[in-house]
Amino acid sequence: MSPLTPEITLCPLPQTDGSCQYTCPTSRTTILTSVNGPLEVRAKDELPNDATIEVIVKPGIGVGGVRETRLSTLLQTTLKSLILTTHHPRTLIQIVAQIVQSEDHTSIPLLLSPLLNSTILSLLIAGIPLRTTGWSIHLAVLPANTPIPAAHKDTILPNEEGESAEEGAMETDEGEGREVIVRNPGRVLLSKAKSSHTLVFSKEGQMLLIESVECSEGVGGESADGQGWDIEEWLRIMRIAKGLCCGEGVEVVRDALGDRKIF
Amino acid sequence: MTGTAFDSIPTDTNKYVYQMASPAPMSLEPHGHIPKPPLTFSTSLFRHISPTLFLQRHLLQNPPTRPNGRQPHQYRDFTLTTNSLSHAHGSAVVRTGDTAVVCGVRGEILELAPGDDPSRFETYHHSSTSAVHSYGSRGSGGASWGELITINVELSTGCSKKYPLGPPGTLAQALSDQLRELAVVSKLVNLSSLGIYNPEERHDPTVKPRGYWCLYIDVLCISLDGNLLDAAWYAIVAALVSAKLPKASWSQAEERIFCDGSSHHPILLRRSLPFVTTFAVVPICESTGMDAIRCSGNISTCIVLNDPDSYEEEEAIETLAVLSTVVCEDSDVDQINAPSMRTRVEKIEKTGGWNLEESQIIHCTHLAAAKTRDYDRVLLREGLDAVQI
Repeated sequence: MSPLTPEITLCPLPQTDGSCQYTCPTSRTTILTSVNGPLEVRAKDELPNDATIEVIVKPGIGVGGVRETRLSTLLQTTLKSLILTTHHPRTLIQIVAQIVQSEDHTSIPLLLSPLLNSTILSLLIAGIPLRTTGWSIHLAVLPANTPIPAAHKDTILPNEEGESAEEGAMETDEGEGREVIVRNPGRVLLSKAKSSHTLVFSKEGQMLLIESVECSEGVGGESADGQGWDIEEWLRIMRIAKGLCCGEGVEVVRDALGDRKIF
Repeated sequence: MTGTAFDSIPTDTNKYVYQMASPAPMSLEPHGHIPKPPLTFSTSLFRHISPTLFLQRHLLQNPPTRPNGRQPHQYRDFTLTTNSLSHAHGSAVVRTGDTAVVCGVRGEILELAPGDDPSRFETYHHSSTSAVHSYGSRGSGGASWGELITINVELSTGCSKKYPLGPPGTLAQALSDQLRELAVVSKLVNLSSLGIYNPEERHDPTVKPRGYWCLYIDVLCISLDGNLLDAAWYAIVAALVSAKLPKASWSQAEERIFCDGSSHHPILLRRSLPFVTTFAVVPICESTGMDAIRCSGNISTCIVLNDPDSYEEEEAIETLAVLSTVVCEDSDVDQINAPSMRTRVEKIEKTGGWNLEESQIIHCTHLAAAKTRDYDRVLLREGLDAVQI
């Protein structure tokens, strides 16, 4: 088993139609999701041709605020395109996601990817008809010469030339600056990153969600001029993420569901 | 022309009449029967009966034209007025089509207690050190503790039928958070320029500030016809550019902060201003008739609409927002159209749907760059006008 394989527990909540607990292997973000549906829908939310999808994100500490509303909006719009809503018109599909553990309970980059993966697995368990399955991946771009702790060495992605991560690191020592792309960074690595990219792809390689932000630290103002990335750089990252989602992501879902014969 | 009512393609929205069914030729009618006039209805009724098809029929024309008469890549003209509110330190009114927003910037003084660590105020993306800290960061309005800029959006002003009076709904909350994220991602304001110092020890760079200007940015939507994000962010940038805070300084004798209205405390902003551009992606189904509504599961193509209005937003399956700047290699502002410019993307957000292709994203960044240039130009002109007055 690869050290990057997430820890997945299916059906931890036996009373729900589908549930899943997901732990990110490196950042240890833990999410517990449950799916119920199709249920009876409140009259004001009823849609004549579609199922209503409700997503509730509950914070790990405190009461839900603006950030949780934003996260649930992001999840809802992504899942709405994934679920075949026309199969259960005038019903409610309710998804509740509880943040169990996180290094930063307010950080969208840290939370979004585990939230999505956990929800998609719960939907599969609940037997909600889906158009396809998706998988989410979180990548961070670190500036060259960033010291990466030995425990996280295997999260470094090899660059296109096919050299291993080790060789890439050697090259940066020689002064040739090269950005490093890591998977599932934790809070400490993310704070050093230049940009963070959460991407969701369906298993056919269609882009479902993009949440790419520049995230370097700084005082702002003129020192921030020229930050960001050219679109070609972004496309390169996007293709890496696509490869991972369509390859490894599908494998993880298949292994997790195993003998459940959903696939 | 045979087929169902919806095969007709509108050419002129004012006088076109849709036929419900194609009338049988007159000669075939039995004798003595006066043929019924064909059931017709106006374009506006067609839009109400089948909004999805109405939009698709428009976009299937050659060249594709939106129901509002714009080309897919065309954005609405916008007007900008700055400093029209007297009680705010900076303000801007932005109007694009039927979307109008007012933004006010108000500075308030935050005094530092002796034990406070000012470094956390002066960095964007400052990561909190513990869970206890992030619990404390849940202030009102979703603002994290330790952030000097607070943005709030108000939609319950009767701007649209969809958002009734009452507590802020999902959209208003999500939008507030999105705008706050834009401010953090773009690092628009130089946070250390908000510091308030003792003027006698200002020359010493090691001296810590005695207080800070906190900026409260409130966006009120007066009228909503789609694409609030672009308009709100533009209003925020314009309000910050025009904001004039009174000069604040620490008085050692009185041991408190004093304001002097005769001179200004500068808010240092970025030189290359970032702007956000939103696109709506509308599915296009080549098959005709009512099937077009049902075939949403296997859409072949999609069309990208720049600056969608609320009707297009409702029909869109995907939205793409790009935050970008145009960086001039040459720092001279007069050469804004010089070819030495580079587009830098700082944020891409795409939600819903699955049809957008790589080539379309690249195309969108080019469109965003064009709009950014236009935004910059209008802001510059408005700024020059203000100086002349």
